[in-house]
Amino acid sequence: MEKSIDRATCSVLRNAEKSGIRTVWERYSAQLPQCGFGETGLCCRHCMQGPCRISPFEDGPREGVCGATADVMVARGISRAVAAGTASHGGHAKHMARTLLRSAMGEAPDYPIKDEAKLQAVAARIGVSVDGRDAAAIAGDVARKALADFSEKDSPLTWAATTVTKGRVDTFLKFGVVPTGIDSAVSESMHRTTYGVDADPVNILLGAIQCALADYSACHMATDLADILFGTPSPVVTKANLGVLKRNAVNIALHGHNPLLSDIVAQVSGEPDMTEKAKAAGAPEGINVVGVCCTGNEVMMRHKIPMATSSVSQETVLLTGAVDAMVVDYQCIMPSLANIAECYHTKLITTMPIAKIPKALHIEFHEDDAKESARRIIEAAIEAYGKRDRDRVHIPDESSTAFAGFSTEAIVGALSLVNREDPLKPLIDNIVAGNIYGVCLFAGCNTVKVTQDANYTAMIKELAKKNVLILATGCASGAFARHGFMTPEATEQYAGPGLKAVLTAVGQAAGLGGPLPLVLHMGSCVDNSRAADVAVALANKLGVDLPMLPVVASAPEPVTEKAIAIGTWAVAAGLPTHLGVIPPVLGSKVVTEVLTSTAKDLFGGYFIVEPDPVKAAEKLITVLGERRRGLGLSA
Amino acid sequence: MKQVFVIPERCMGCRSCEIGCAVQHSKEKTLFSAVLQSPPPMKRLFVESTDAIRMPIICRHCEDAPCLRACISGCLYRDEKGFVRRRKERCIGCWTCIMVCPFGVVTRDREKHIAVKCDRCHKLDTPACVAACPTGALVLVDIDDMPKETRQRLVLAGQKGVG
Amino acid sequence: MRYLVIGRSIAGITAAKEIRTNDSLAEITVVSEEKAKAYYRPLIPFLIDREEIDIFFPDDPLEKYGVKTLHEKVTGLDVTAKEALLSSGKRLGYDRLLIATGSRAVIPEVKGFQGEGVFPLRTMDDALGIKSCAKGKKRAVVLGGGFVGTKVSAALRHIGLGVTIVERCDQVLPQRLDRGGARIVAEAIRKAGIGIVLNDSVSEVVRESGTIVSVRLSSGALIDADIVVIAAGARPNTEPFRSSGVQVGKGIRIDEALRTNLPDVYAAGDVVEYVDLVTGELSVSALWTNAEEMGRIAGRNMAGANIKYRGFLGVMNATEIMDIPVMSVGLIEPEGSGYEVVVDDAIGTYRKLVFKEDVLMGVVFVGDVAHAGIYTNLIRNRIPIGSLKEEAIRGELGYIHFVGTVPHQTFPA
Repeated sequence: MEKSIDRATCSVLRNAEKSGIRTVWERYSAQLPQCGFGETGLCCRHCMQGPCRISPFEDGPREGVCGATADVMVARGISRAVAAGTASHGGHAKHMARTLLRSAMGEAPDYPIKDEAKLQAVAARIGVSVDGRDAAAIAGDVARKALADFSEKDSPLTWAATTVTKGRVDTFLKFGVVPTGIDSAVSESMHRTTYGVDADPVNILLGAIQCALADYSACHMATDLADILFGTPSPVVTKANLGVLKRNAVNIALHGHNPLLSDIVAQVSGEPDMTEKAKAAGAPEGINVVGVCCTGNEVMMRHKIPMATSSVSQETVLLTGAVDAMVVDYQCIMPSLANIAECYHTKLITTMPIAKIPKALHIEFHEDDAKESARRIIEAAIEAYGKRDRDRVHIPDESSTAFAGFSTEAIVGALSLVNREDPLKPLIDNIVAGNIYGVCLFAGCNTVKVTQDANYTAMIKELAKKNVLILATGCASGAFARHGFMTPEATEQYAGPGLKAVLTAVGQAAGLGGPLPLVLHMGSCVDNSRAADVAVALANKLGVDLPMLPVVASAPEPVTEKAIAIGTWAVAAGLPTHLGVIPPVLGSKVVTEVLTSTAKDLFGGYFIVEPDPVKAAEKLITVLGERRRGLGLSA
Repeated sequence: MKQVFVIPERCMGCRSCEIGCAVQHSKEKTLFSAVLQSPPPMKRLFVESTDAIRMPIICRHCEDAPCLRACISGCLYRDEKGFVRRRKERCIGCWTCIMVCPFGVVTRDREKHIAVKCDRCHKLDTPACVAACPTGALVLVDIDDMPKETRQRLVLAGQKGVG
Repeated sequence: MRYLVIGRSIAGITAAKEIRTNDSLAEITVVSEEKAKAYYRPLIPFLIDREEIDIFFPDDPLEKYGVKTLHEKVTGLDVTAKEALLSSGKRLGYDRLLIATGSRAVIPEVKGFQGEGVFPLRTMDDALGIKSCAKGKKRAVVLGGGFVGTKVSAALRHIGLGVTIVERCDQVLPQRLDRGGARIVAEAIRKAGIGIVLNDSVSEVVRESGTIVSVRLSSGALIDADIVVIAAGARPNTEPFRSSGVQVGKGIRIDEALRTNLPDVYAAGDVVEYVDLVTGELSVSALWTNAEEMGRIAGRNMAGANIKYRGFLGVMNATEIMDIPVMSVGLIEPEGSGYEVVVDDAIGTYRKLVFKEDVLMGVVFVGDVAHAGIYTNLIRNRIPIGSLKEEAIRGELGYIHFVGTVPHQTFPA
């Protein structure tokens, strides 16, 4: 199997191979064969009487020491994955809420309220009074309400209850899956999946869905609060791929997830004295900040900062030999970065107390003097620049133009240029008319198990041809950006006639002089909530619930537990959700059946597992057709 | 000639060899299709353990194979590579081979009522069990290339190369 | 060297193969009454109900090993001249001779056995005769509830006949299976719609104008019947050799090299009498697997080797009856003291183990026969079981318990 279909990535990897530097692909090969019990979800290490495993085939024990069946093991495993994903998004959102609170209290001077309109909108939605109050007071209440969502409450989670359709709320109540606390949902998932608690696989899965809805709330909260602190994204034009690194600049790669770190580094890097210091250190082009992974998305849409690469290929940035510092916070940071940085002059700088890596330089990042922390980080990068070995620098030429930053507000804004009174009407009219056959949200990661970007690029071509409107977040965005799908040219090249006409009309109205890009970039992985908002707005406008909408989701190359959590809430939200990698559930017929079929009866959404991208696209198109017929539309 | 050996002290008891074997003997030969196959595919080797030792018990394709000699229907035969294999269509499910195999590595296909045993993955260069072993407990080696001490130790452990 | 093998079933064929392997210049002749190609005798009951069954040896082993075959009946030996006498009047010289004539069906003296519709089951022709006769018939009575009787009953039932087994003992598979195991097997046979009458025998086959109408039992009962199959056991084919002075007990007597008392005359297979490893008594084996082993040793010894034959397990049977696997090895119904018998008859399976002190003497497995060869090896080689008794009883014994300790000796070293 090829490592990647991306030329820049491949050229850097070839160099690495020559130098004997091992990356994620070599480590994956070394892991093969991977354990079949793990691959099918049939091992359990939840107690010290284990580990237990059940053969997915004929003879051998049919249950673990405690009596847990294959169904229980698999359900527990997937439930814990959802809990871990929720804990991750929860940690991210809580970090944001605490910072907002400190900002409101004047304790975080580097984090002023940047988007008061968004603050007011969020406040109004969650029932915080805005009339005649100053931003700090409102922000304080919003932050406190956000923090209150973490522990167990007597009422449903604010960020869940106020952001979904009435129909969803009723469905969640009906099946008893309404979460009342983000942290408490994680805690309860851990409790019910520990030794001797929940042994009903379906009940465990309902618990997982409840936890996933807490994950949704956390994602939504993180997005809302990031917009308040750093601004709601609006479209920008930038570049993506390794070619964005500069030979004659101090290159700083921002990697991870939370804009609390990256946004400040981005801001400070633009300060004149920082540029001067860089030039003084021998970098005529000053400081060049690039993004990696979801942090890359955050700074791309708010600061036009180019994106170097995304998750699975994060090591390639360092392999160019041109990165002076890589600054990381948390999530999806491969520990191997430290080893690769060591092969070069590169400083790997960790910043979070919960995410340290041996051999990395740790500069702890504090909200109360964020900019000062950022300056120290940048100075470390400038210092490293002096040690860069120019003979080992290999920056590929490739970089593609990328239009980014289509937040919900930006999309509605663009549509309002077509119809000021009723912005959603053009979108709905075109869905009804069939110019837009349906909507597909691409999310998730890149995985070493699939040739990088192969699934994304194959699927988007099929879907666009059939006039499916494409939204993207997270590392899906990275893939599309790298390959030039976030451009008006891609619309010209790949969109079916209906879709092309719509994107062109909106693009013209927005003054682009051409169509909107083929992929509407909605942000990082927590920003999947933005796509959910679009779907909810459409459903409310049409007066139907989400499971009726011709909207699907796809994670063609998923990796993380966060992806499992997001996929699960997408299913609960009523979206048919495609996975291009087989999750560790096939060891249980019950769990497989529930996730791919029964869930449809309960929630309307369900998982479609299909490794072949062309077949996957066909399946999604079929599903969109079914839903169109359900609405009485042409299919 | 290369033979399959087991190095017991390297065996973690993970049963990956069993899974690799069953998958190799499934219709589509991938784990995920094999898991969904009905009836499920069968493995041909068995990880067994005592307090002191754990290791896969594999068919030795004995030179003087009791199963082959005892077969009353002309099903078992020795192929050109020396592997003891089945002519499946001739098996009548009398289980005489199970009765005489001193290693216990012939089993019953309960659906088809025929005996099932290791075919040493005769179409593959490396048998699936060896390929699946993450710790190198199952190895395919030329006996002549094996260090003398290793060979002696394996012989003392009551093992005989397979193949 | 001229080798003559009389009989062309597994003992004779194996011996011929071994002679060729060990003496490339040998001139080997096999004489057999049967005209058909060599076949697997245990498969003949399947000829009745399985159209697709192939009972012949896949590659004609005699042809492959350059063995001459004669279709003749041997009527006697001239030991002095070292010649076999054939029914055609011809004589066949030999330097070494193997008697591997096997056995023939026992046909009791019963009124009405003469005439159409009554068949033994020993040869391929017998099976084909039953098959063609059974066409259009409704009821069969099978005399004898041993392995052959149960198999032929299953076959006849399978092609639609009503079948009744009449067995003179108080259980099916007498001597081959213990009572407990036999009960389970009998239940399965009855469930398949086959009647079983125990402790009874056939006293008359009742015919009307030559055609069978019923079978009268010793108890007086009358069973409707159109066809009768005799499966009442087998007897060694020793008759042609008695006049030559060969010693005969239950079968032809042999020494540990499989030599008879006559010079250069060996015997192997169902025709011989030899030591039952479990009882220590002389007996006739009548088992394919044992015949194969004897043929192999005899062949090698005839070609110059000196391999000692320790004896056989008189009970070493495996089969599947009505989808239930059944296996019995060694001593299965011990009499007298000094034995420990452990029976586990949990639902669906039956396990019986017979120990004498530290040694496993016999086993019966019904329903689950996994790992049975481990037990057979222990029984055959009288390996002290030591601390593994509990594992053996629980059915958890695996080869892992013997790695590095027990040689898997199955052939005399």
